[in-house]
Amino acid sequence: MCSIQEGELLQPKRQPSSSLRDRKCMKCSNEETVVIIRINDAFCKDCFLQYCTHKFRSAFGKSRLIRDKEQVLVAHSGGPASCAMLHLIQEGTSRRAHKKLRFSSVLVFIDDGVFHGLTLVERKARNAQVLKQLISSGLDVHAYAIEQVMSTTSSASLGLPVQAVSADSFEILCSFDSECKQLEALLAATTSDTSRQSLQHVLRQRLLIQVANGMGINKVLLGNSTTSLAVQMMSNVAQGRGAHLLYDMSFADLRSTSVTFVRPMREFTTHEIEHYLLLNQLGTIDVISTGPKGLEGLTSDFVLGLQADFPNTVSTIMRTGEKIGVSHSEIDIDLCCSLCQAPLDTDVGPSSALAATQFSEVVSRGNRQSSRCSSEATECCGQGDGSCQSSTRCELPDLRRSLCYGCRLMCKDLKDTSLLPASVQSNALQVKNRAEMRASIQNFLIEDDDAK
Amino acid sequence: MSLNLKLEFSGGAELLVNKVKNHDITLPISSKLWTLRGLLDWIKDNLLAERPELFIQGGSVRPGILVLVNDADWELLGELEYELQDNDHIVFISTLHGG
Ligand SMILES: [Zn+2]
Ligand SMILES: [Zn+2]
Repeated sequence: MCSIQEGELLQPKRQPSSSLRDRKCMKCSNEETVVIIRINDAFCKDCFLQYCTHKFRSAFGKSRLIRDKEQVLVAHSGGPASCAMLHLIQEGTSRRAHKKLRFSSVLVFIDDGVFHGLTLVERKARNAQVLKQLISSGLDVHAYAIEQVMSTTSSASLGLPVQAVSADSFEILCSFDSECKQLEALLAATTSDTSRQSLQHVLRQRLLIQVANGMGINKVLLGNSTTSLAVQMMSNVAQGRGAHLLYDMSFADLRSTSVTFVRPMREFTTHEIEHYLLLNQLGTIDVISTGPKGLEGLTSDFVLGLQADFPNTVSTIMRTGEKIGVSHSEIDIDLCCSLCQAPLDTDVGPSSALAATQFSEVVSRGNRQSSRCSSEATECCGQGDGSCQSSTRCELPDLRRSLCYGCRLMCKDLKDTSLLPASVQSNALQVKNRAEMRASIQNFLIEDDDAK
Repeated sequence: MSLNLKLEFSGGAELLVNKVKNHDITLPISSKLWTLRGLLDWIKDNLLAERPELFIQGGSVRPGILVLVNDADWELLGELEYELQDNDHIVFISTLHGG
């Protein structure tokens, strides 16, 4: 490779800090600067706050995604990004706001104490603390416990009345004993930190979709920052979720057919979020973990290490992710992963990398197991080099076949897939039936091309 | 004569210093001036309970931990070279928890 060209591609590095001393605000020349953003831009308090509100509102304005007076669900974790998002929403919908945001928000808090191994007493204390704060915002607050994702009752009820919680009604969150045990068993059966972490992401998302469906709301606002999206993107690619990059990164995530996830904080770095909170004298309600574990933790260290020297790192990663994603219109959304609910990326033809991986998996196990998939293996010409393609479909039980590639990898670290939520199993059955039906009527379908 | 400082740890950084958010400390005035670099060494020796690498890496704070001096970004003040003044308020915020 040509080293001169590589040098030109290097990002601007932050200047030696001595040159930043006594900088004036780049907007108004005020000398009392408090924050450095992007690469070397110093801002005073007022200009920085203005910059934040402008950025937040223009994200909604540009997309025109949310209609006037539409009801949206705002997912609130208690963490800094959620707190900043709530404040920006409240400010944007207040009467004195300049370019007003015109939607109405319902807050939803998910008690994920089980993920963090909290005791019942710790969970109750945390719920009380977070919910007291959320209720004081004056908005309707709905609270769920993450273990409700295991529930077998229909998604519409989830065992909780669809009604805002009040200051004394949230003890109910700790009452889902059997679901709680099931979830603990599922997490315990997951053998790596990396898979456990991504399983937790998936479960949280499933519950949010169920909650939104139950309330008849089809937009959910999430608090992902530029920084967290950049880290997630890198670790998702490493975990075989590259096909869903577009969903993971975009302002409007269309993966689910019934619910759109919206990420209004995606233009904010964690650095900006913390400054926004400080300057508005807002605290973070709740932080319990010291950071992600497994592959995501390593990725986070790597990305943040780069970010310290090259302040453009996270936004460059995010912009890159936007560009390399597969466009939503090119994806067959008829068949969805029964776990993460993104369109299946596994129907990719016989000469793909996926087929090759599966083939080598079968071959490296040797012929000893081939009797188990005899119905298909008998047709194999026995070359063993994949030329007959018959072996790519065997050895995949129905559940695995209904999962996207990333979820298949994740489930390899799961000792017993029957521990997955009941709703996953029934989704898997749907996917299987739909695929079978499609195959059986294939010959009778008139393709668009033929019709022309 | 001595140097009085208010230290604040938040966003999860307090977990590394015995779960205590606020520390009022007094540093003895020595022959050399106290810089933030010196303060980090002092924190490492006196406050960090275990696993100091979760807070200090390569002589500076771990990437992802924000440092503010009297509510302003420490980059505006010269980072490690900043000379501490009496009654300075130094805040360390961990942003490593997602959120
Ligand atoms: Zn200004
Ligand atoms: Zn999936």
